[in-house]
Amino acid sequence: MKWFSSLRRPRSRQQTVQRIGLAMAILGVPVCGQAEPDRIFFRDGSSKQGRVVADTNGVYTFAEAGGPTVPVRRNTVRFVVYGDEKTVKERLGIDAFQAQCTDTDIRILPAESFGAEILQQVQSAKKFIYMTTYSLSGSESGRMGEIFEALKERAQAGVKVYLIAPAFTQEAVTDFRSLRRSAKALHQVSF
Amino acid sequence: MTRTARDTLILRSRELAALYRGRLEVLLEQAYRLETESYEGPDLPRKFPEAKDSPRGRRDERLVAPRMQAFTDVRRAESYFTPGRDGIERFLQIADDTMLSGSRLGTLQQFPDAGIAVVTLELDRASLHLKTAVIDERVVITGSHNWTSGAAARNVEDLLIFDSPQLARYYTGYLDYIAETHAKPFAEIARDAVDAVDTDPMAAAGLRRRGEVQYPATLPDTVPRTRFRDVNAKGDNEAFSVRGHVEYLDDDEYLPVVREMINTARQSILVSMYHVAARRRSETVHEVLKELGDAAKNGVYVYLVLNMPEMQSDSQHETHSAIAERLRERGVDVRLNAPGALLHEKVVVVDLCKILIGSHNWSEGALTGDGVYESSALLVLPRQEPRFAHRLVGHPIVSDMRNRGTWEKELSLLRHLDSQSTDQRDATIIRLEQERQP
Repeated sequence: MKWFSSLRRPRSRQQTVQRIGLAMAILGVPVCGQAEPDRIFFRDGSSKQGRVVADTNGVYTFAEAGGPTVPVRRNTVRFVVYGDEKTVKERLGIDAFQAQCTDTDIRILPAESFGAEILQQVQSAKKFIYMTTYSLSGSESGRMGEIFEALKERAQAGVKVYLIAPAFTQEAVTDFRSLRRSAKALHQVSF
Repeated sequence: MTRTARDTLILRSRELAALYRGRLEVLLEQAYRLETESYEGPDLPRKFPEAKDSPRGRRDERLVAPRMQAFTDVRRAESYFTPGRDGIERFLQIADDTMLSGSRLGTLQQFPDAGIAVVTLELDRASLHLKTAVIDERVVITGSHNWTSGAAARNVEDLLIFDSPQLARYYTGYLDYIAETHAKPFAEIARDAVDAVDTDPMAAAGLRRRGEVQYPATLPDTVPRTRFRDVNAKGDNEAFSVRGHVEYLDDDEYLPVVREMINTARQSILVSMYHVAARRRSETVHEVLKELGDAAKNGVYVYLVLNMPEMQSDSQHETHSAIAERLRERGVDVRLNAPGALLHEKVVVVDLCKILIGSHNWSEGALTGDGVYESSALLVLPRQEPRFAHRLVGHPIVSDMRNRGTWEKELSLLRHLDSQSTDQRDATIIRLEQERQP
C-alpha cells in the first residue's frame, strides 16, 4: 500500500529535524525550535507535513510549512502523527488511561523472532519459568525442540519450570512429562 | 482394477482376516448373505431406480463411479482407473463438498483435466461419507477406505469387493440418483472465477444479489488484484522497541478498556483480529462492532482486518465475510486476510498511542471473561508510533473489496492458488496476470 511507505518513522529525529530545518530555511520560513513537523496521512494514500493547528468539530486546521492554514475534514484522513509529546498528551487523551507500570521498555516482536526471543529468555532464566499456553506443539525438532531442550537444561540446573496447559494438548504435554522424568524441577498443571 | 485387487490382497492378509472375520460375518448376516459370482438372492430394496441395463458385450459403456469423502492422492486414483485405458469411456466421480476447499481442491481440479466427469454434493445430508466404486457393471468396492495415502498405507480400514452384477446395478442406480438429484457439476474454480468477476460476481460466488452496494465515499478505494505472486509475502515486519506505560488486563478487565478506547478515539482505530464471533446471541460483540461503526460515522478512520480460514467450509469464513459486508456499509474499512497466511494476532491500536495486545479474541466468552482465561496488555505511549500501523496494514489481504461478490471470488482464487503445486501455481499466475493486464 503506497500510503504506507511514507508512514514509517524517519531514521532518526536528528535527521528529520535537520531536513525540516533545511527545507524551511530554503523556503524562507523562520525555524522556531527543533520540534518535528506533524504528518497527516490521507485516505487516498497521500501525505503532507506541516502543523495541525487545531482539531475541532471533525475538521483539522492544517498548515504546510510556509503555507496558509486550510481546513481538512477528518473523514478524509487516516491519521495525524503529531511531532511532539505535548500535543499527543493534550489532544489524544492518553492521561485517561491509567497504567500499573510506567516508563517501561516494550519490545514488539513479529512471529519470526518470537521463538528466538523465547529461547533466549528461557536460556537466561535463573529462578523459575511459568508457562501458560492454549496450544503446544511437539518437541522433537525445530524451534520448539530447542525450547524444550532449554527448559530441560534449565530445570536440571535448578530452575523451577511450570507449565499450565489445557488437558487437550496431549501430545506436547506427554513430551513435557518425558522431560519431567529427567528433570525433577519441571511441573505441569492441566485443566 | 489389477492394482486395486493387489491392495485388496494386502487387506486380506491373515492378520486382517483374523481381526475382521467375526465383524464381517456379523455384518453379512445382518445385511444379505452374499456369494460372489453366483449370487441370486432376494431382490434388493428399491429405494432408488436401478441403472438401465447396458447392451451386453459393449466394453465402451463401462461405468466407474467412485465416491470418496476425502480423495487426497490423485496419483493413486489414476493408478486405479485411467480414463480411456482399456476401453473405459465414462468415469464419474461424486465428491463431498469438503473437497472444494484447501489442498483437496487442487486434487479434485486434476480430474476434469483427465477427462473425468466430477460432480459435487449439494447437501441433502451432512456429508457424502460413503466410499464406494462400481466398475464394469459387476464389481462393487465399498468399505471405510478413503482414497488417501493414509488409508492405503497406515490406517486400519476395511474394504469389501463384490463381483455381483446385481449389486453393481443397485449401486449404480443409487449413485446415479445422488448424482442427478443432489449434486452439481464441479466447476474449475480459477477459470470460472476469472470469467465471473467481470460478469456476475455475486452469482458466481453463489450469493444472493442485493443490488449494487454503495459503500461510503470515505472508505479508501480498492481494486481487483493484478499481482498474484506476492500474495502471502509479509511486509517489513521487524521487531521494534518503544517506551510507555503498561497495564495488565486479564479476562473481563479487557472489555471496558477496549470500549473506552474506541469511544474516545480521535483519529484512528486499527484492529487486527483472529476471530470475531458475531453470533446472534453475542450481544457484547455486536455492541463493540456497533461502536466501531459509530466511530467511523464520526470521522474516525477505522481499519479492521480479520483472519480468513484456509477452507471456505470453516464457519469463520462466513462470519467474517458477513461482518465485512455489514461494517463496510457503515464506513469501517474492513479487510480480509489472504488465506494461507494465518492472521492469529489480537491487536487494537487507537490514535497510534493506545494499544491492546494479547489473547483476547472478540468473542462473547473472551470479552466477558465467562469460562475463558485470557490476558492482554494495554500500552500507553507518550508519542504516537506509526510502526504499529505499519504492522497491521502490512498483512497480506484481499485486494478487491468493492463488494462481497468480488472479495469472495478473490478468496476462491487465492485458496485455489494455495492448493496448487508450485508448477501449477506458476502457470495459473501467468495466465491470471496476463488476463488482468490493464
